Formats: sequence, C-alpha cells, structure tokens
Amino acid sequence: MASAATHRSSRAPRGEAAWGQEEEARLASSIQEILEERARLLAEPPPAEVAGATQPVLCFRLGEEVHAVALHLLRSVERAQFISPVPCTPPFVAGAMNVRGEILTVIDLARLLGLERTAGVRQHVLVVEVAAADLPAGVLRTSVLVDELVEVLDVDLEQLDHSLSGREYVQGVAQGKVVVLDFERLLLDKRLEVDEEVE
Amino acid sequence: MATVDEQLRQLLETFSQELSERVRSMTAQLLRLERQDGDRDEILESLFREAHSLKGAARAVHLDRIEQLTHALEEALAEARRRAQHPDGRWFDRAYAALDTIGALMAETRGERAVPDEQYQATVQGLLSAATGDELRVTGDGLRLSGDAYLSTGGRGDGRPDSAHSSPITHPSPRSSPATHHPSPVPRHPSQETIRVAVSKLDALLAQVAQLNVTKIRVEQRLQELRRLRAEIANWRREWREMRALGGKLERRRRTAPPGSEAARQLDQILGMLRSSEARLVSVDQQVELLARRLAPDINQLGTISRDLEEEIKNARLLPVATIFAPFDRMVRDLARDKHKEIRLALEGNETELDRKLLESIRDPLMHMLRNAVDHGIEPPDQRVAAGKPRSGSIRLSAEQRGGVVVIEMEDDGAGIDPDKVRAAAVAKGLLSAEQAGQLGDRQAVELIFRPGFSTAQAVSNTSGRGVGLDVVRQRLDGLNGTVDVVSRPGRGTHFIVTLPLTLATMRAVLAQLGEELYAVPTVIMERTGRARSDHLLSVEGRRAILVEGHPVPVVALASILERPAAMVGAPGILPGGVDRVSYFVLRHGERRVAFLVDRLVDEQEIVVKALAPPLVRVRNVAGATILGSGVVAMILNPADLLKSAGRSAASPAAPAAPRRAAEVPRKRILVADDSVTTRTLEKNILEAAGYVVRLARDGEEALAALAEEPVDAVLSDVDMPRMNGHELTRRIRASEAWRHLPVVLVTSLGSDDDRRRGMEAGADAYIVKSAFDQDNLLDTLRRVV
Repeated sequence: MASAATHRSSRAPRGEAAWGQEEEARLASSIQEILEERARLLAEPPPAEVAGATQPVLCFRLGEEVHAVALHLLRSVERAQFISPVPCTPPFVAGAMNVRGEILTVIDLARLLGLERTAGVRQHVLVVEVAAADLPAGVLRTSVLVDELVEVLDVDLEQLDHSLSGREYVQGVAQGKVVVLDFERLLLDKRLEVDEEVE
Repeated sequence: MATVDEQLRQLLETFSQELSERVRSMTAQLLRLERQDGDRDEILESLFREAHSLKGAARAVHLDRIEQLTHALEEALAEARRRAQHPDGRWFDRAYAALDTIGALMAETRGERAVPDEQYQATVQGLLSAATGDELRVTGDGLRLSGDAYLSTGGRGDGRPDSAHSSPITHPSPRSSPATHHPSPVPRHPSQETIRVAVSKLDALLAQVAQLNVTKIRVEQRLQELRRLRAEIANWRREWREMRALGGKLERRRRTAPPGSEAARQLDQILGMLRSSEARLVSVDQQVELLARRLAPDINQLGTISRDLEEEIKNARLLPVATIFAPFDRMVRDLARDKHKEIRLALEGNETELDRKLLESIRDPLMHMLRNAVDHGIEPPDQRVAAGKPRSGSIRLSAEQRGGVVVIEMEDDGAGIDPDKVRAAAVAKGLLSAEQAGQLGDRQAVELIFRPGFSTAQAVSNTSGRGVGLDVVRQRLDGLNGTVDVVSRPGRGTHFIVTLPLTLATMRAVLAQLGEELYAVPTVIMERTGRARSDHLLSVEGRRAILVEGHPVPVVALASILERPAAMVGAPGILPGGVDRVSYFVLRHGERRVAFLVDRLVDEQEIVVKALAPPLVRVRNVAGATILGSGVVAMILNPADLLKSAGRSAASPAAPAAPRRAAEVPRKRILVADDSVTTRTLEKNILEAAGYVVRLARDGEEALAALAEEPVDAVLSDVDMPRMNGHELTRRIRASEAWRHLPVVLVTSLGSDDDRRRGMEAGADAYIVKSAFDQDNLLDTLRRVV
C-alpha cells in the first residue's frame, strides 16, 4: 500500500502542463461514459460482494489546489455558461442556471472554501446530488463551479491523510495532493441556506 | 392480493370525494334552511336524498360508522319534515355536528386523527333525540332508542326503522360496484359532463406547453436567421453582378484565343462555371425566399396554437371561488352564535375563477379577516341598535375579475377602525414615536394595522379591534404577488380590498435590463413604464424624484436595490455622463409609488414561475426564477420587496417642493396614423412618455385632414390602412407645397425589401418593421428625422 490511489484512466496524462482543451473534452466525455455505465449498473441488481473501500472520485482544479468529489454524487458536468446572478445573496452564490429545464443554484466552490484569491478560470459546473430526508424530493440537487477537470481516481477512503481535517468540508487528502471533499456535509450544511426577508 | 387492495383503495378514494361533495352540499342546504331561504320541504327533501345516497355508498365500502351516522341524520331529517314548525337552533347545531363527524370519520380512514368513540356516540345520540323530538330520552341507552338493530355493529341497515319518508330504498348487495349504490335521483352536474383530473397532470401539461413556447421562440429565431441568410445572398448577388464586367472581358479573351488551345478550353470552363453559378445563386435565393415566406405563416399558427393551448390548460386549472367561499357561511354562522351576535354573510361573485393553488393559499387569510370582522368589527346587537343601526350586522364578501387580476372585497357595517386608537397602540408598542404618529393622516394610521409587530398588541385587539395577525395576511398576499388594502369609515364599517393575479404558475412580467442581466418584474402592482429625459430627474430636498404625469415620484436605481455593481446605470447617485434618457417602471401599493431606473425595458411577456433551488430558500427582492426563450435563467423580482427596499434606501414620499427643471424645450408634435387602436395607443404612450405631443388618425384620409387643421413636426404612419394607405399618404404629403419637407416614418408588419422600396419611393424618411418594433427603435428613428 504505497499509494492510497491508483490512476483509473490510462489516457490521463502524467504532466499537469499537458492538459489542453482537447484532453479535457475527452475527459468530460469519459466521465459521461462512466455516468452512463453507472446508470447501467444501477439498473442491475447489486452484486453480492462490494469491493473494499476504494471509491472513484472526480478530481478538479480550484485555483492552485486539486479537489475531488465522489463520483456517485455526481449527476452531470456542464459547461460554465449562462449563469445568471441572483441578487442579494452571499458571494458564494455564483448564480442560477438552466440545466435541461431545471433551475439549479450554482455555488462558487472556491469562494465558499475561502480560496477566492486564487486565480482560475471557472470552466465547469458539476451537478451534484445528495440524499436529504427533510426535502420533499428526498434529494438535494445543486451545482458547484470549478476551474477545470483533471482526472478520475480510485481512492481508498481508509487510507486518506487526515492532517487537513481541520479544514471544513474536507474528508481527507489522497496521493498527498488531492483534497477529497465531503460533499454530503457541505450541501446539507444549514449555514449555506439563504433565507432572508426585507425588513 | 395487491390488486384487490388497489381496487379498494381506489374505491375509497372515489367515496371520499363523493362524501366531501355531499357534505359540502348538505352544509349549504342546511344554511339555507336555517336562514329560511327557499322552500322548506324542498330543501329537506333534497337533504334527505343526499343523506340517503351517502348512506348507501358508505355501506358499499364497509364504513359502518359513517353509514350508521348518516342513517341517524336521515332520521333527524325525516322528523324535521314531519313537524310543522321550523327546526330550532339546537337541531341545526346537531345536524352540523353530524356533518363534521362524518368528515372526521372519513379523515380517520385516511389515517388522520381517530374520532373518539364518545364524540361519535354523542353525535348519534344527539341526532336521534332530534329525530324523536324528545330530549329526555337521551339519557340511558341511546343506541337502542329506536328499538332497532341497525345501530349494532352487525347491522347492514336491513332492519332500518320505518320512518316517515317515502322514497324508494334499494338494498343492493355490499359486493356490487359502488355505482349501483347511488340511488340519487338528482344528478350533481345536470348541465356539464365532468371528469376528475389530477392537478399534477395539468401541471405537467402546462410545463410541456411552456416548453412548446420556448420551441416556438427558437423557430422564430430560425426565421430571423433565414432572413439574415437572404440578406447575405443578396450581397453575394450584388458582388456577382459586379463580376459581370470581368466576365465580359473574359468572353473577349475567349474570342481571341486560338480555338482548341489549352487557354480556350480553360476559359470555356471558367465562363461556363460563372454562368451556371449565377443561375444557381438566383435559384438558391429564390428557394430561401420561398422557405422564409412559407415558414412565417407556420410560425404564426404555431404561436396561436401554443398560446390557445396554454390558455386552455390554465383555464382548466381554475376553480370557482365558491369552493372556498361556501364553508365561510357556516363558519360565520357558528362564530356569530358563539359571540351572541347576529350576522348575515353575503357571498357575491361565487363563480369567479381563480387558480387552485392561489385559492388554497388565500383561504386562511380570508378566514382570518372574516374572524376579525365577526370578533371585533360587528358590534353586539344592543350596541348596534343604540347606534341606530339594524340589529343584525352584515358582511359582504365578493370576488370579481378585473382585467388580469381578481379583486376580493370584504366589507362589514361594523364599528370601523378608530385611527386614534391605532396611533395610540402603535406608540405603546414602540413602532412609532408619539410625534411621528401625530403626523400620520388617518388613512396612513389605519395602514399601521398591517405592520409586523402591531398584531401582537393585545390592547388593540380588545379596544379598536382588528390587527390580529393582519401582518401575516399581508405577508401571505405579498408572497402571492397580491395586495391587501383597507378603508375604514369609523362608526360605519371596514372595507378590505384584496387583489390577486389570476394564476400563479405563470405571470405577466416586464423584462428589465441592467448591464447584460435581465430581470423579470411582475406587472401586478406596476402602474406604468416609461422613458424620460435625464433632465426630468429632479432633486427634491436631496432625494431624487422623477416627473410622472406632472407629479414627482421618488426614484431609485434598480441596480442599487439589487446590490448589483455601481457601474450599472443610475446607481447609486447621479446618471453617468452622456446618458440623456432613462427607462423606468413605477410600482404602486396604496399611496406609495416608487420609480425604478433601469438600463432598458425590453419586453412584456408571460413567464412561467419556478422556485429557487437549494440552498436558496428566500432571497430578498427575489420571488423566483424563470427560463427565458433563450434558455437563460432570469430572476423574477418581488415587487412588494422592491417597494420595501426602496423605502429603506430612499425615504417616504417626496415632500412638495419647487422642482428644478431644465429650461422648457418646446415640445415636438407627432401625428400618428394607424387603423389599429392598440397600435395607436401603444405608440401614443411611448411618444408621450418621451415628451412628444401626439395627435391620432385612423387612416390616411384622417391624417391628411388632421394635417390641414394643425401643423406637426413629423408623421408616423402605418402602411396597411383602409381608405388611404401609408404609401399614398406619403405621396400626398410629398406632393403638397406645404408639407413637402415633413418627415414621414412608416411603420409596418410587411418586412419585405420590395415593400421597403415602395415606401422609400413614395418618399418616406424612415421605415420601421413592426417585428423589430420596440420603443428605443421608434424613438431613435424619430429623433433622427425630426
């Protein structure tokens, strides 16, 4: 167990600088494949045995840092465009956008995590969904704005480095540099709720 | 077996609906009977039929307790019919209680609160004593009073006692279908066939239609693209024609080239290509034109159909207000009896239709207001007589559709609201200083009852009445894009006026642009929109105001209210240099009017309202979101919030002061000719808002007559008009000595080049196509020519 994570995609390049638009488009489409594959798998009865504690995560860049979200929470990846600002909301609310007829709130993840001074081009919106028993739909769906997609990794959740665990919403660090975020905690955090009225 | 369970569940659902309809109808009839409104025997007969049908249906679904209670009700009704005198108040109390218990028993089957056996027994006993007409006998074994087995649990109603009614009774087997169990000889909907449709299905349809609208707008964009393509081809053809000279040179070269040579062969090829290309270009041009021409009517039809469809579906979602008004009758009766008051509730406009969700949301606020009216508004009978009023007070509750809104009014002839007591209470509650309170006019003082915090003032609810929870009522209506106002005539009564949009799922909104952002502003409390020169912006005691029809209205920048970047127009101080015109909309609530400055007002349209998504629950100044035709999300602003926010940022209505106005410029006069009254009015409004003086004519001949009467600075004319069209009008103007140089702008729905050319040949100075018609375009064009 030298490394907590192994590369999943053989196409993923090793060098950071090699990342171009084309690569990213290919990554986005491979994520699409993974999502479709997952939908197929979900449609089948669950296998008798579940493999260890490794879990696929999608890595994305936020300024200088690489963060990750558990793939099973990811619903789709959208291009970050046509995001309409919502007035009178805190800065971490980037706006709202139309995802196939549904209006989703877009959260500026870098600002929320206090990384706002890091420069970066917000290129993608990740649509994520977590179970929320207190909502009528039973799930809470929202979206987060990220800079660019990096790769999909298999991460062993039991081998995460917890030295960063003082930071909020962080589950741990994989491979010494991938900050795996606890999206369930983040999205269900009542402090994020905006519920204000004009006096 | 699941299917049997499912069948039973469906059967119960059907029965539950029948039950609530019958209970509602029986309540209404009991109320009529109690008021002695109509023929006593007829009402009793009808009540009896309903009870009997309900009993049969209850038996079919094995709801024994409902069946037995309904049977007891039947008995009580039969007894009432037998007797000569009108049933007394106690008899009615018992009958109402029976209906309540029947409803509760039904709710119990749905898993709601169980009905305590004592309540059930007491109701049955009450009915039976009413039926036997003997109060004393309800002491011992009430269940056995009639000496029949039907009240024991094993009874199926076969041993029903022989009461005085004579309607034929059937005893179908409990296992047969419920339809055969309805001996009701009176069809519930004699004139219209109806089916029940789940609201969710209608909502789904509405969402589909919204999508259809979006598609229609996209197709319209395709047509625009096609038109641009034609323009592109036209350019190409022009360039091609210029190439002809070059082609001529090549032809000459061909003639001089040695026959059969390589050069001659190549030139032949090139020339052949040139000729065929030109022919193909012409053909492509024609095909594209044909395509555009055929597409246009198709789009129109698609638009008409989708609009009609939307309208129809929205209508299907509407319900008459009677569905919520009807129970009020009973409620007021009970409350009044409770308070030893005599009150008559008059319900008007029962057939007025409103969106179902809206209806549900206003039920509680209306109940609240009615309760207030009974509790505090209407005086006790003695007090009323002493004041020279009739003993019995009256409350009028009416609903009426006026344009795009429904107005619900509640008027009582009680004591009214005493402004002095409200002032005192507000001061006591710390909402205002005594000095501030003293400065308020009576109307404004009465408005204080809607203030949050006022309602809890216990002293007020006891002395001046009202105020209990009215802030909640107003809040609720704000949330529905509605309003509530009050007019009090002390000693003579109180009058509440509630306005609501017709439907909730969609609303009309004006799109306002700030920088690159679009916001939808609901038109419910929008009084007007307009454009003004920046020198119409005044400073009144340090606050900014704008002149609207000669009156100063406080003005704020929408961008600053929405906390958007200050770079946007007008925020927060003075207009940026170079901007000489501003667009604004005026919101009005009660006496309060505020003008909001925006960069541009784009369009008024019907928008589909969607909720904000988590983690947004409630956002200041934002009511929801909508998806525009382009697919982009626009925030729907909350007009009530905007007014409140404006109150915080600016201040109360501008005090009268001498407005500083820029030097008066003599106003230009425009003659507008159009055969459509809508277009005439639209153009008149736009032009007047921009400071022009407008004269109107219905066609070319009227326009000429108007010109002869009074000189103008420009003519704005439609092309297609009866008697004399726009082209002819232009030609006449050009031909006359006096008006030869008068600027003429033609406005038309005909967008073809040919049409434009004819207009220009007739001598028009400018040409505006209606499809591209917006006020900026119109005003810019006029400014250029005048």
